[in-house]
Amino acid sequence: MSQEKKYGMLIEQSRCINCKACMIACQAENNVPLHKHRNWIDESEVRGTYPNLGIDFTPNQCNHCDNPHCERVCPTGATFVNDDGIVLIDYNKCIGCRFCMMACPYDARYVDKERGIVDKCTYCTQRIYQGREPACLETCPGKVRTFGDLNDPKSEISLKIATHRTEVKYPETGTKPRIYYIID
Amino acid sequence: MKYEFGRRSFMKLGSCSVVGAIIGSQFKFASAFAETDIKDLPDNFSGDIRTHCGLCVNKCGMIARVNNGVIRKLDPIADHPKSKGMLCAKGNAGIQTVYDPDRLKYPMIRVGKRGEGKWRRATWDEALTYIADKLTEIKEKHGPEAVLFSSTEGFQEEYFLRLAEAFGSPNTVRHPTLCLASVNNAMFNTFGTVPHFDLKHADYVIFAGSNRLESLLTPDTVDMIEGKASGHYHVVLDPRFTVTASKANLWVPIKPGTDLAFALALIHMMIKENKYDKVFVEKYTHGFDKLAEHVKQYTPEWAAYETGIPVETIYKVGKDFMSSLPRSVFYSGRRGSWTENDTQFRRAIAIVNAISGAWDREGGVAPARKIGLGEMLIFPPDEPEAERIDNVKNEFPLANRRDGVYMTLREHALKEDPYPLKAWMIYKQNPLQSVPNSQKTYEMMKKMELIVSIDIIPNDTAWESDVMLPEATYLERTDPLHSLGGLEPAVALRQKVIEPMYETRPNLEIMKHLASKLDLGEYFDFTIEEWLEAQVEELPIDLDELKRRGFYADDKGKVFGKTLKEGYRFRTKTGKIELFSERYAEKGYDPLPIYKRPKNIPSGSYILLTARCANYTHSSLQNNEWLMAVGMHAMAHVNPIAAEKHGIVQGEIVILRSPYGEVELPVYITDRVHADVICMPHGFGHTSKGLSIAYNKGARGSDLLGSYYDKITGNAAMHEDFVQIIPKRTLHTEDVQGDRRKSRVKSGGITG
Amino acid sequence: MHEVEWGMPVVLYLYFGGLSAGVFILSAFLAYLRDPKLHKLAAFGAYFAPFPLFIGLFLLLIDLDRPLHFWRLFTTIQWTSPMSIGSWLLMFFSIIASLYAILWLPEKYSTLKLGKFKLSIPKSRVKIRGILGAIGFPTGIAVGIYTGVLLGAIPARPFWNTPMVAMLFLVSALSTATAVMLFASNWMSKNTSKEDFHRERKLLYSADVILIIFEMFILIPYILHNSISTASQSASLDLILGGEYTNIFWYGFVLIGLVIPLILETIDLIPEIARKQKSSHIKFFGYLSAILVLVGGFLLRYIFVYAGQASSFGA
Repeated sequence: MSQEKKYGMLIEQSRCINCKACMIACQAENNVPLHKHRNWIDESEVRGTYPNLGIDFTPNQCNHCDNPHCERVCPTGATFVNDDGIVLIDYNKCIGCRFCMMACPYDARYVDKERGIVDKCTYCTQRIYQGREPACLETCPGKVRTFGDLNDPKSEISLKIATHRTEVKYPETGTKPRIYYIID
Repeated sequence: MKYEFGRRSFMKLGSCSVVGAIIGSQFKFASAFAETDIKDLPDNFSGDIRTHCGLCVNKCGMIARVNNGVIRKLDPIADHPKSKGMLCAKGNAGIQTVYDPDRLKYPMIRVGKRGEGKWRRATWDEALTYIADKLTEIKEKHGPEAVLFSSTEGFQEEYFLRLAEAFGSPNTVRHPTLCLASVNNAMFNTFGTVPHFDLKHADYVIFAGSNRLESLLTPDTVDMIEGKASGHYHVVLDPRFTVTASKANLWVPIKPGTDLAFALALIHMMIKENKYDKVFVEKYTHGFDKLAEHVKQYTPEWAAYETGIPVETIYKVGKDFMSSLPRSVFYSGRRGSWTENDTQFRRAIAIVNAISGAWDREGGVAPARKIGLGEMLIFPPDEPEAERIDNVKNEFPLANRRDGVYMTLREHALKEDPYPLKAWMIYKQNPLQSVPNSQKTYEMMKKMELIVSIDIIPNDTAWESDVMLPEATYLERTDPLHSLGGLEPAVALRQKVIEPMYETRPNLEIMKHLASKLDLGEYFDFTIEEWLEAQVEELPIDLDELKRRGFYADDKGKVFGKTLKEGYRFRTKTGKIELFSERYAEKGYDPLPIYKRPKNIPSGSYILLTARCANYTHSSLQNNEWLMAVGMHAMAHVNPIAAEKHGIVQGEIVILRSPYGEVELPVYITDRVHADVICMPHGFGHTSKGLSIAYNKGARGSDLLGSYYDKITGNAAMHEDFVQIIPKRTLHTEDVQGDRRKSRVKSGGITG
Repeated sequence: MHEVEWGMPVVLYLYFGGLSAGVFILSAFLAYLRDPKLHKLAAFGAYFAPFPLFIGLFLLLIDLDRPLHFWRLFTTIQWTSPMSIGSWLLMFFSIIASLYAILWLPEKYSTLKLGKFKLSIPKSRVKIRGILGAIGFPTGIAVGIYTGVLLGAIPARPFWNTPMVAMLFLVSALSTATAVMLFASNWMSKNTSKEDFHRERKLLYSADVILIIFEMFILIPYILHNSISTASQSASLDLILGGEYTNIFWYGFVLIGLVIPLILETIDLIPEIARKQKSSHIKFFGYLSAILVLVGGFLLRYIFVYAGQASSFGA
């Protein structure tokens, strides 16, 4: 296929048990500073009244938007969209103004004080370019995430998106996010 | 004892060869005594090593990515038959456990009063001489039985137990009576084995209190999520709305301690409606008629009254369970007992699974397979002459003698009945937190002239000891092979991925050294390499290949039906699955489970429940920064009805008081707990100042729990206690969830 | 509690940036009027204008996580980034404001010495500063607007995401600048003739009253507009309508920063409006309104920067 790749992720949140393995796997893999995280799990309020209760766990991370506001507002051009759709940061160019953090509706970015830069999920480029899975996905007991090429109609992720009802987060912000959540 | 030394800074250092060399020289110093059995890894080793996690009981397969002698990442082994390609938060945070600055680094001998926290660093030789002299003195004065050896499972635990045996003490006490002794006993005395559940294929599963999605167990947790996603129906009986309950199709809040009534009613329905597997029962089981007669009294209506579950729900669950047969199972659970009648409750679960026809089939309940290992032929010590202090033989004839019974052993020790205990050797255990009623444990410690803790961190008990010996962590040592039983069995190899840091040593080396000081060197006349070679003998692959693969699994996968073959004899008295337990009858226990109503809750009190969190292994990982940053905050979960009754507001600090002690905790008011209970997480409230992160966070359950135990196995019963709740009228101010995103998304959101 | 990534340095930067722009605009405008009675005030404005900006820029610089890399801002122009445009704008403006200030120095400083470095101020300084004023005037307005656009152009923060924030910040910048002038006018009144003082007063009070009324009528539609907008936008208003920033917004900004100065200044102007007599100009009230307006302007930035970060989607 001559077409360029576009990486995306599908999250089946009904499989998430809030065990936070993905958070720690990411922390270790990407050397994320203590108390900062590239991915995290939102726990909803308890719904309903006793004994008919419900609660949701939603894994979150950078949505690698098609129209990323973080990239738009970056004053030095440090944040950029890679050819394969992954939103990355050129750490040499980042001055740590944190404007991108204001612009991200998903709060996916954090400051790495030691390096004086802003950082976020990269889909573990160091792994995926070697044919391995992102750390969060690989370690997950529920295999909540599916990662792959959205431009390849035969990829697992494309097939799953085609056959399930999915949604993206905060589409109204116009960021065109590329992490899909299965609605069940 | 404080070293500013995190992994991030360590990694920076690691890349610098000068510093690498300095640390390297420490390694060499560390193994000055040790005959280096397994070849040393070079200081600047880089590469991937397959090994097994050691932070909980599961032993998940993982690959350690090592860069320049520093562990960079722990990844799951994708095709591991037990862990199924997962590694939980704990497993991933293992790096932080190795590089925890609070680790025990050197042998330490107490200089101040016990618990005061004043230590001096000693050499191994000095510390072990100190211990050996004291042990010899006690042995001469009181006999070897005056030394208690307590330990928790682990690949090197057998060397510790071997030392006990060689020393001549019958008094070993292990973790099962704080854990799954009652389940094991019930299963074993029904099926002659402790079976596993095929959760991946079971269409309908009842979980009673078993919180498999927060108390992770491989492969069950993974299979359960897979099974649920493929449309299986899960029912959870639990007074708490756990994560497991939240993912289930049906959550049935149940009055604590009444689960047996539900199980009996289920048996009643199955028999009454003729939905049990008659052919199976006829052919493979013993005592059905007696069972049928016995459960006539246990109607769903009766159970509804006892359990507080609406009778329609009991009928519905019963009907659905029966209509999915034989792919319906009642999951046995696996944890500390709840009530004094716990074994009988687990027996009822076993009976449901025995008459359902789900035995030894796909989607059912089946005996575990185990891959045989070779054995190192070593000089066996003599049987200890003295009887065990806890008199397990007579008090708990069906309990495992080597495991002992923690709760009654402590009573005997306090009364010095029939003889005193004078020294306590502790390996990989933290009795102050794991054994209910910490006050009694403190008293028992006062009786000891010597307390030695072998551990990787200065936990609460170690902090109260006389000598702390630093063990190498699971990533710094090579362990004996371990055969992991299960529906898909495997042989696990744990090999070191870095050399032991500081002066830590693998337990075998500690035992060897101590044994030589005690003139017992002949019992440890082997190396780990020889041990492994002997074990691997029985396997079709050699040790080098095993080291490459990290584990060995045959290609048979799940095999069912072995016990259904003609002529198979179950390992029970009658050779059949015993619905009516002849062994129980013989020993004077109820051969069929009889329901005992839980004690009435005193007015103004609540049943205390202790909860597990997927981020910690009991009390052992609260000092792990990464885990503490994402994990549960220790709070008392209180139902809104109870909160209103006491005028307690969200986040307020309360005192929980039981007859055995009191603790302070902030309150989380939530519908997620039954109105009769107060729930607190287990494993918090460390009193050891050696743990800079875990110290004084939350509260210890063992401070509140009394000394109840299951009557058949002696297993500690943890849900027999009542607590009062007393508001302190001060608000909890600390940020409840370490994770900033949490608080950003919902201000004031408190979770647990 | 939410973690605040943009804290006090950013608040002060936005505040001082706006203040500088406002003071420059007023100074240029007063100079443009060529009213000798207002000359002193125009000169003061010219001297004053660069300083808050420099303080603000310094604070911003040290607030960067890598301050020594700030120069990267000026290696590129990112047309979609308000901060990139703003950085260039501020650089341009600070040069203009500095030169403008120098050109206002009295005749005797026709040559500035700084070690070996000499700067001779051309004789046609009045003309040049007129031109600089003409260029700086729209630049200053742009700077005033920019401080609001920086926040407003971000859909991720519903509390900020409306063009009215930019307007509000600009008007507030002018109002605070007026307050600075008012303060200065009071301060220098010993050497000012009664006539001149009266003229300054009337002008500044009138300007500020108009600006405060403008602010109020931006604020009202801001609240109305947000409250009937998308769920997250109306939810974000909770921050000032019952939430964490309610008291500081209503009592701090609205009451102290707008209503009280408006009343004080209006009272002073009533005789003028009624055309009966010249007002008495109680100095204390002059100082008081100036300080209150300055405090209000600061609170506005503070509330917006902090509350904005607490607002997000899915809240």
